[in-house]
Amino acid sequence: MSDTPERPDPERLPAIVGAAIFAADGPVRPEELADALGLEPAAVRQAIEALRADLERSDLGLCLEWIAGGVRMATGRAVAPWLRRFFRERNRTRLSTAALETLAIIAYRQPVTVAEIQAIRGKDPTAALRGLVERKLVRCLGRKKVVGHPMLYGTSREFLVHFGLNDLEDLPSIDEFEKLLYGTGLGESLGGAAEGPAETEDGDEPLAAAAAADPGDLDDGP
Amino acid sequence: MIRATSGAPPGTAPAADVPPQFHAGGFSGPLDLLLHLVRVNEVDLGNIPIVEITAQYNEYLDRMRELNLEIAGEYLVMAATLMHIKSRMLLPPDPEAGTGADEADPRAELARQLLDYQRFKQATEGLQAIEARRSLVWLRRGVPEEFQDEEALAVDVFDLLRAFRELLGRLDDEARLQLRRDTVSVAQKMDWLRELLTRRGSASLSELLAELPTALDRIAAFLALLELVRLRVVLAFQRRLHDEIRIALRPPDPERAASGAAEP
Repeated sequence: MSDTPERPDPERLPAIVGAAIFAADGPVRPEELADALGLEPAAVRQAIEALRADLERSDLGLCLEWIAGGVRMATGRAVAPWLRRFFRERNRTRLSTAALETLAIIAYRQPVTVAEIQAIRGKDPTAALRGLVERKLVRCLGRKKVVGHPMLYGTSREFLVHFGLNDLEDLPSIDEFEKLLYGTGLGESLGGAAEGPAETEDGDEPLAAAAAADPGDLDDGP
Repeated sequence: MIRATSGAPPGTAPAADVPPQFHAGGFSGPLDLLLHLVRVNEVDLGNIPIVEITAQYNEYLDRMRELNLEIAGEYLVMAATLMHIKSRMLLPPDPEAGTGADEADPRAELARQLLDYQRFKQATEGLQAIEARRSLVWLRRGVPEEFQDEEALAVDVFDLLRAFRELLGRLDDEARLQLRRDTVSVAQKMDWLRELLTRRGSASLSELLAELPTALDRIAAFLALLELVRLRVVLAFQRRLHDEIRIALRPPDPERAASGAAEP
């Protein structure tokens, strides 16, 4: 007879999960938490979902977001204008257009070589690429088995974190972007990563499928 | 995933009709410039009026030259490509090259390239929009991301000094033949450190010092580092005792920012 029961009471689970996410330094993976609590990951995911809904309802200015396979607590969108006044700055360094252009090509065509990036951009990407590697947004994935064995580049975990994505499938396809940018207001629709894997698992087929299919569509290679 | 939550925060709605790339005539490459010309002329990518576009493209390059802007080689390559396409369009089809009818449109490759580029430009704008949104989400300020896997062993001034003395001794041999710099100031090194850490996120002390040519530079950099640690701008960490010392910018402190003592 120990003081703490073997497993947490299911009703207390959202509270436990929430506290763990709050106190953790980075995104918490449901599997790790489940492991520590002696539960199935599904139960933890469910608790995370319940907590997410709770946070949304109670309007505490906080939300849960899925980043790189884990969940973490972040400030809600509605409070952002006020927080900006408090923090007096936007809180992330933004990338230059050249860097973003190179990054976009890498993100949608990975694994990709410098020559392939240059062919699309019409401009040498070396400088931009160096910056991206330095910021760890891009990593080397190996070498292409062609003459000269050029380096192949792809996006990193840091890339997911920077853009608030849970995984690469969260990245809207280019056509998706077109709709978002020139169709409805982008500000309202790119909610993406904050929504969590429950939706990625069931109700989110079309976008995931589009994102997965898109690099293939593009990959017509010379 | 796509949810219509109304009420985007002020100042974040991206202006869809203003391409952000075209500020101050800065193009990110020849394709960017070409795409711009295609857009302002409102022509179809499948049927580019090559004579006009070539003329306008060259005009642009002339204007860049007038402004004494450095024109990257890629722009000149594209100018040559355009001229080549133009000449092929103007020349009558080579009777010896077979039937002129099934000869490919010389513009096809360029059009394909532009189309491709246009798509990635769109993706770039999309990523930009995500970035803009992400900059309005705040997280708890903890240990910088780089150090998350490290046991955060705070390093004090004595650790730093010891490490510095060792490094200086070791590095000095390699750098003895360097010419002396004119002036070395601590303030200048503080700027350098800050800029470098902003760019790289974190760096190891030995790496950092090894980049500097003379002992004088290293001492100035080290004093700058101490000053930045004192001002709580920079954090020094090590994984284990006597391990490599790493430094990074301390995440901005909200309280200090609020009280107006924020670092610029």
